[in-house]
Amino acid sequence: MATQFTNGAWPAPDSVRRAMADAEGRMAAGMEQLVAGQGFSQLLALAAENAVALTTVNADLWDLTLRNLRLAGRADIHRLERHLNGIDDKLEALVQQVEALGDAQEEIQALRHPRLTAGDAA
Amino acid sequence: MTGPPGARLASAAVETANILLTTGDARIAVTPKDVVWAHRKTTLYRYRSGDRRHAVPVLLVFALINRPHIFDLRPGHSFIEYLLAEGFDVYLLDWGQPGPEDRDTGLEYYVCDALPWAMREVRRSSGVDEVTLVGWCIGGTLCAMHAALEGPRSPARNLVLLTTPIDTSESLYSKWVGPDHFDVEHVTDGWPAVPGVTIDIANKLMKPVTNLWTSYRRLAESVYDGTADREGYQSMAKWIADNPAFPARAFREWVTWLYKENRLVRGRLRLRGRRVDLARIEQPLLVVTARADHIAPPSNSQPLLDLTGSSDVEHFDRPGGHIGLMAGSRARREIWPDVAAWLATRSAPAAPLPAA
Repeated sequence: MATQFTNGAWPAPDSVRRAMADAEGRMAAGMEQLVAGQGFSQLLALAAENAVALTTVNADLWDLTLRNLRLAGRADIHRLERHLNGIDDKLEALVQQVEALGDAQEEIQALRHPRLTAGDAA
Repeated sequence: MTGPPGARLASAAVETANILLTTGDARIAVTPKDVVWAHRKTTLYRYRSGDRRHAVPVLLVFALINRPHIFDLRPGHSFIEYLLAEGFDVYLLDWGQPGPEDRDTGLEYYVCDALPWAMREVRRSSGVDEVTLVGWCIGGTLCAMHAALEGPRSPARNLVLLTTPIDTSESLYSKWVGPDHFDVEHVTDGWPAVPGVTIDIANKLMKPVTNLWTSYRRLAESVYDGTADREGYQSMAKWIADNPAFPARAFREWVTWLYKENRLVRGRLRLRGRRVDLARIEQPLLVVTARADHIAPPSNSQPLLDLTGSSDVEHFDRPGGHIGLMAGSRARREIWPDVAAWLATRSAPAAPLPAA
């Protein structure tokens, strides 16, 4: 597509934009077709495996270094954090039990003293 | 901006760079909220309406990728702010930032534990026995799984699913991660939490030119023309760049069950030994799809319309993309009022409203 120039120096913005949008549209359609193909899918799977391998090697290397320096590494911190998760789960179960008991107690109170609880609510 | 074209161009380049470099300073998710409940990384927030007119509170559930701030992007462009103004009591479930210590967190944690527990807290704090679930993307799938698992026992009064993958057979993701050459076991063995940035890269590669070039080109052009919406661009860019990790087990299950085996729509998904049967969804159901959605295209959500056991089903199919539909500049005019109107007619009080 021919690009129009004004003052002999700068391209007219509209024509440049039209040309760019046109090229971009064709490029976008082509790329979307490309990424939908099986070849790209296989490439992506390999790239993911490479990224996983690289981060694993890196993490292992750092953990080994820190362990040899008698310092806590990420793996040690993660172990502690998982332990905390377990404690969090137990606390949540406990809170739910306590709340259920509280609800049950309120229901019993309401059955035993209907007028008193109605007055409280008012 | 005036002056010779060269100066104007240089000035626009500097301003564009400034917008890009200061994106992190954008203020998003600023609507006042209270923490109601927290467990592990999950937090439940409550947004109080000053003009509560609808009894049934709304619980917003977002995906496991990106943060739920998109529901409350910025003042004037916040779905939460809109719902509050419409008189709804709004809650938001934030999955937080999972780390490697959460590698064993599977989908059952989200569907069988966190979601029902959050609903229980919503009911306790609102004083109302029912909850409307509004799920977006994976959040919608989690809500649908919950309703399908619990059936009439679920306290969910209504179910709203926004651009939600249910039948993944016709999607680009299924082409990428569905075949055997994508070894999800290898990925999750090496990554205890799949880095959010890798999922973000994959999302961007779905439309590489649009995401990696056109959006920046449009920004530069709008700056050059003097029409740039700095706040709008920065708030969305900041949200897009915030990518929490995906816990390994949940990622493995999500990819295997949803994309490799398409179990949900085949009725072969089991959580803690119980079958997730979409026919058990009996709540009023609103399915919202976006015609230009490349992540969860309409064909991914539409099968639910036939599979659900609900007799009150509505489908909004609108122009827009996966996120733009509900968070774009036209959402406030074109989709939020319809969603709020749908909810309003289904949120009548079963009992007198409790004091706020």
